[in-house]
Amino acid sequence: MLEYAFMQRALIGGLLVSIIAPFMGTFIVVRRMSLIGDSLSHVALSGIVLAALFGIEPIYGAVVITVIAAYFIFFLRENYASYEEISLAIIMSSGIALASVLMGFSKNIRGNFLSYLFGSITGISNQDIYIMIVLSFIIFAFWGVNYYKLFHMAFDEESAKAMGIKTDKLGKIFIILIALCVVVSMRIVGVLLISSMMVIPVAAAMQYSLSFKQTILTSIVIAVFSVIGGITLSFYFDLASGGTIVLISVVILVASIMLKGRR
Amino acid sequence: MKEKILEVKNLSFSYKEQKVLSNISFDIYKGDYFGILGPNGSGKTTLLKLCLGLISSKEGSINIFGQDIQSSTKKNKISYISQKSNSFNLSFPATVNELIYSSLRSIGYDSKSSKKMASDAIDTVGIGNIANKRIGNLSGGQQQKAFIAKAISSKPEMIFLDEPTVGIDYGSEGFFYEAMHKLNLSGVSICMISHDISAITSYANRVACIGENTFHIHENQDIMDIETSLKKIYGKKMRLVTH
Repeated sequence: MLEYAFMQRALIGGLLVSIIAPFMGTFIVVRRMSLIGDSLSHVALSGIVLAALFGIEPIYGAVVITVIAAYFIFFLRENYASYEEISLAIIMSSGIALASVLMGFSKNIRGNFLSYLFGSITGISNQDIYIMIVLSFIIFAFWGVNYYKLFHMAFDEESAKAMGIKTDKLGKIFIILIALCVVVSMRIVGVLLISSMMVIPVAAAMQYSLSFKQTILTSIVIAVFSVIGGITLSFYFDLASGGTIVLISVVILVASIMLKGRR
Repeated sequence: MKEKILEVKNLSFSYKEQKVLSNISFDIYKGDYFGILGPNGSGKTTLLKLCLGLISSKEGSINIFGQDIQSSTKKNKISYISQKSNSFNLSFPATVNELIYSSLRSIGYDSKSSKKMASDAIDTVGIGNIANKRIGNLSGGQQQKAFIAKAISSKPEMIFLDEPTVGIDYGSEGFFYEAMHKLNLSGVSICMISHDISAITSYANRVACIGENTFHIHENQDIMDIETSLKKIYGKKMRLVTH
């Protein structure tokens, strides 16, 4: 299957997703923000439709709209500080509402829309891959500099702030990076399934991992296995790549829970 | 003259319309063991959070090591142990050693120093046997020892504590107060909120009693004086038994 250029692109993109999504996901899960990926991915849909309306690459529209949505989350969180999930619910429904209204103006997006919802390995262009590589580089560079600060923040935000870490600023950048991670992942797993790639491998890894680094590495291994397995199966059996990838990771999660229960 | 570490001047704070703290001023000096006593809702935790820069007030000023708390570049000289049930994420998948090492890296220590400092702190508290265990799998007392190790690992000049012994057994509580006492004797300033009045009056050289519209600091350990203040803020007579 590797003789096909689209499969080469799918595997490069898939590998990027399977490293970045669980890496971000480990911090998302321990900070109890699992819904945020879902919220931002629903907003990405409206960015895709908007880009199609203006005749530009959908991935650009998704980047702009998800980053704007990230800022909107900051705004809502400040106004509903005690009810953080409210901001995520508002963003999620606003994203879907905007996408559905915009779709009324663009008839030609509809056929392509399913591939964005559930992922499609044949739909990944060279342009998509270049942008995914650039966004992944930005995410890795940020983590390289701030890994320990975010670790401290995730464990005990008050202590981190008291000891001089700029937790407010880092927290905001973290949400913007989740928005970028959503864009990186959307062509492979589809916007409806992105958050599962951030959460399911981590949930499976947490069953066995002793340390934080082990959790990150194990979740990446699970995600790589799921993504490569999912892309391969979707190539040979003509399945939706996103659904196949997520189902494989769910099987791994269930197996890990059952095996732990038998110990 | 003793070095001034924390300086609070004319501090007031309100939550929405409700005044919580009113025109409070005090200083904490190097080597002080500063205890804060008061009933629930008297503003103890709010005062501590203001002193740490976790929240800010428009009225009054707070300086730490001579710098405004909000913009201080010397915050890595302090440590904070909060009420664990409110702040710590106990399901966090990390070992005790990883937690201490990563906290040190987060405030700027390099890998080699952080390893050494984490190992020293673990030895000091005597928790080598649990250093490679996941924090969430430890008992309350063991977790508290791990948090002491984390707090002292950066060799802070001052430690703030907010009801640190809530939810731990009597033996672990005793260990905790002894550890803080030893630390204080080595020159580290302590600022601790606690409901354990006898522990505070036994170990602290300065005791602040905070109540509704009342803030009084006892500069010595005169039991009678403190009992009078406690009667005022708790509304009933208290007889102190020191440790």
